Amino acid sequence: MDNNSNSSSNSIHLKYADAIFENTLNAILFINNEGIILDANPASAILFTYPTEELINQSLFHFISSETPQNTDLFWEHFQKVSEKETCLSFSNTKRELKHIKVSGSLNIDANIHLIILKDISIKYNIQQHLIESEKRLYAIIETGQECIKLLGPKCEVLEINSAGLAMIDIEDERDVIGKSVLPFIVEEYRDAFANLTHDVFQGKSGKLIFEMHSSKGKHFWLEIKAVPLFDETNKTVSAMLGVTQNITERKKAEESLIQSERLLHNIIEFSPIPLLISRISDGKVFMANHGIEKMVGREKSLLIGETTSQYYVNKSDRELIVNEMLTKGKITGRDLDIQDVNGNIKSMIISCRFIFTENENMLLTAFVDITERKQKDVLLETTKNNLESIVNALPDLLFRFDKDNRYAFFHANTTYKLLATPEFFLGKKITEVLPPSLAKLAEEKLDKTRLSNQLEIFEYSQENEENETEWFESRMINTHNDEVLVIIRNITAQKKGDLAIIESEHKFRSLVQDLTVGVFVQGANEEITLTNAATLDLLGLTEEEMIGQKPYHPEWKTIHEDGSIFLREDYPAVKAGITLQPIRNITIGVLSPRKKDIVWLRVDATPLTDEEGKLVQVVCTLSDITINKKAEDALHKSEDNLRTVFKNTDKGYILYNSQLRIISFNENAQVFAKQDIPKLLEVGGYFYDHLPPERIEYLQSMMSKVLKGEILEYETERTRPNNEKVWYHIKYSPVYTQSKNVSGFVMAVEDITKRKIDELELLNSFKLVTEQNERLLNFSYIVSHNLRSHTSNIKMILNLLEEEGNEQERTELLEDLKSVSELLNETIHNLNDVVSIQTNINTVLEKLNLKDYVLQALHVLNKQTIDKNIHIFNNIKTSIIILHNPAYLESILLNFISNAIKYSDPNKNAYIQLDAFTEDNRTVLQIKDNGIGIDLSKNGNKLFGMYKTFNGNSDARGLGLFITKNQIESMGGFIKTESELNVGSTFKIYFKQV
Amino acid sequence: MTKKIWIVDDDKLYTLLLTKTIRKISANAIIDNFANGEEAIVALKNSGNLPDLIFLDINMPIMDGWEFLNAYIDLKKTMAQNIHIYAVSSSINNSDREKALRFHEIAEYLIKPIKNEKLVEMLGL
Repeated sequence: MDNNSNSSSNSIHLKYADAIFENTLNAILFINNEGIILDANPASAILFTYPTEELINQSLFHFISSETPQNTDLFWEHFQKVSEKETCLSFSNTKRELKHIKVSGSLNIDANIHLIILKDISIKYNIQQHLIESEKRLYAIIETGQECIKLLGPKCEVLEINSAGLAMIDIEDERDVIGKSVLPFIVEEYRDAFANLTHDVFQGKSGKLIFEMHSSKGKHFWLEIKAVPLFDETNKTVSAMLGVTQNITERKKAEESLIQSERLLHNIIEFSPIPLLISRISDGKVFMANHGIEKMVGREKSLLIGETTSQYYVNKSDRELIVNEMLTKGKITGRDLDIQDVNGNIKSMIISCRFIFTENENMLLTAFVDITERKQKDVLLETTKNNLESIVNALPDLLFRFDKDNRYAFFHANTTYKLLATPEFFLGKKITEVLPPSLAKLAEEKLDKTRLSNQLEIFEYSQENEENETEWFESRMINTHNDEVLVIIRNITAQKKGDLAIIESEHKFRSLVQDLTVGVFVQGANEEITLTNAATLDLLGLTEEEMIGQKPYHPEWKTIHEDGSIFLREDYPAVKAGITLQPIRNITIGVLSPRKKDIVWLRVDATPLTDEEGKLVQVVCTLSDITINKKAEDALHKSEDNLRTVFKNTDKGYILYNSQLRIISFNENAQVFAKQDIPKLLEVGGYFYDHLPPERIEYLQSMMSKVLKGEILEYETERTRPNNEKVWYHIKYSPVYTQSKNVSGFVMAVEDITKRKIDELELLNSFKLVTEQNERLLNFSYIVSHNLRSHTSNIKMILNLLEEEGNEQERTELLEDLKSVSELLNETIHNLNDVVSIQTNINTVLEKLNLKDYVLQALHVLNKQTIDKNIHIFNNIKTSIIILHNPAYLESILLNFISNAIKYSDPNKNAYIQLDAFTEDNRTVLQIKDNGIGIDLSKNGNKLFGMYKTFNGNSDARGLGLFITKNQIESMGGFIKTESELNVGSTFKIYFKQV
Repeated sequence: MTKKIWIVDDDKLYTLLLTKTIRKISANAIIDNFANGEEAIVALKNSGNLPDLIFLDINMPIMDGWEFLNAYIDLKKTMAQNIHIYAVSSSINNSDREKALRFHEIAEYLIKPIKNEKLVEMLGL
């Protein structure tokens, strides 16, 4: 190697050495012979807990030998020895930490320079120290412990054994056992097991065995050995079996005792009549249950085991409550619990619980007592008690109990009971101290009697109350025990009064029944007659003795139906009502009584009376004498027959309608009228309005409701047949009533009254004519009287003046006046005669006259006046017109009207007279129209046809013409109508009588 | 006191005889004649010299006694003087009497001839 390469190699080595120096965990120091530190690495500073720089020039021994001076010698000795044995020194560093170091290094690496390496072995040293101490302690423990600790070889030979082990086998000197097998000390039946355990341990396993052994002195032990292998230094081979054997003889005894106890417990539980259950506290799973539980929940024990108890609780939370209660109190005694068996039946239980602690689980022993029945009985008892209390409270009675000395031992009074004092007042007092003497005496007698007879003693007594009214009481006494008597007092005043009222009522009822004019009898449940009244006996012609006890269908009592047939038992209303239990009404029975001449007809009603169960008690029968009605009815039937005959043979038509306006029946005449005059033929069931002329429907609709309410409607009506023949009917609607007075329909009676009506009309016309004639005559009589009296009045005045007048001239004048009056009177009488002749000629001969002929004749007579006044005549009358009139009157009439028209023509006009004839209202009318001066009809209309009435101031007017004309027309059955207007003209229309 | 008397009657003879009879009783009486009601009404309207009493016939042409009365009722309201009107008739028809008495304006219904005693009374003599 060259220098360069050497120097380079050195340089690298130096760097390595520096790196090691700086980074090693061991303290590296360079010291001189005096131990002065020349250099130190960082690990040194850590070891000595002293800064590196400050270590320099310090003495090493200052750090390691200040408290242990021997370390200096030991240090140097280390380097001087040749032995490889390590030198370890201990010292406390500046922080008072105890440090253990191993010293190595090389002395004289340079002149007087030594390399020292100090390895900190403090941790390892400490561990070794602990181990040494532990071993010491272990040995001490092994030696002083109660357990037998031994080391055995593979053939169970003893290698080592502690003193406890020697003591256990009663050997004093370990040499007696070392090297010898332990198997002879072990009871034979466990030797194999022990040998097997030993074998297993030598295979590297650990094991445990409980076995029995006996000592050298014959003592028996139960031992438990826990065996582990002890490996040699290689840690691969088992060098020995370490066995720690514990004497468990006491425990074994205890266990056996426990098993006994458990067995006993099991038996107790199993055979206990009380349901007992052991369950796990943690989850409630059943561990054990006895027969009682099986019965209680209805499930086999084997199935119950493993189930949770809570599934049988009605309230699932009960389990938690029970567990909590157990945990807080340690036990439960007499807690209520409702359970539900597999069939769903809820049972009331009382439970008691105790803990059972076992090695593994804490258990709960629960005992059940079934109180379901008792609870039900309790409820029943409570209910009964409450009911009884309620009954007692509700009773309107007084309750006492008397002791054997007749003292009040118990007292209960209802609040409604009027008491003289509170119940407390009575208690303890003797009966004689409380009650009035007479009542006390009676009560004492009855109490004695009750005690003697030992039977219920009932009696009534009365007492006056504060209002001096008598009140009635019922006392009930019963001997209870020890001659104590229970007494119940009830106020029966109301009942008593009621009884009296019933007796009175019944008496009244019997009197009433007896006095009734209607026959009444009562039939018992066995159809025998139990009660009858005088009216019944009278009606049936029997005596009470004959009737009472008999049956209504007595063979000697002859009774018949309306048709004469005999009544059978079942036909009798009373019997029928008894059988059907329904009221039987309106049965007609004819009684042939031997004591009566004629049949008595009875209307019988029977009403059954039943008890609460609907069973017949009696039948009440009433009998009404309808003999008279019956006769009347027979007469009515005959009358009906007669009516039917009349109905058939009458001239009238009859239609019977029901209330729905449907035809029930009708007779032939009605159909005849229908054929002629109504739109539809009659038929039974036909509707009323279908048989009416349409124009009558509205009127009759309004009227029919009245008829159906009972009003009679009648009217006459005119009908025009298709051939224009007029017929008159009288129609009458009469309501038909039922027996109950309700309207069930009506009869429409139709009568042809045409002939009568014509006669009537003619009569009416005649009457009208006569009336008019009478009126005219009366008026005429007034006129006559007036006119004649005017003249006689004047005559009388003249005569009066003549009597008083002395002057002859005056007298002559008066006589002249008298002459004038005489002439006027004559004229008046003449005129009156004319009029009277018209008035009296009622039956003046009528002839058919040609009107035109008579008009022409009149115009001819008046021709001169017409021409003089230059009046134009328009004669429009046709030749064919014939009127029925008296010829002389017609002539007079025409002359009067035409002459008036001429007389009152207007000279300022082109005067005309127009004559027309036509038919109006079936009359021939002659119309005479002019354009003359006219008449103010409003002013003078009433005077137009009056006698001696003039109104136009014409001196020619005598006031007689139109009066006579009117009379002539009217006497022939005609009349006049006038139209006129002043200065316009007049029209007179003469209506002649129909031809 | 001189009475002013109107006779309303169409019977001229009767008017004459009544006038004569009145004159016999009261020569100073002032008597006027009217042949019908219309003439009398015209006179009433026009004359300032109203009568004390009127003898009124019922049955007259042109305007009878009833029509006169109806006209008089209207006229009376304007007249200062009350006139005694006597209905005078030959009619014994009771209906005429009844009708006459329904007119308050008629003092009395008299049947012809009027007795002298009555005339004396009526004239207040």
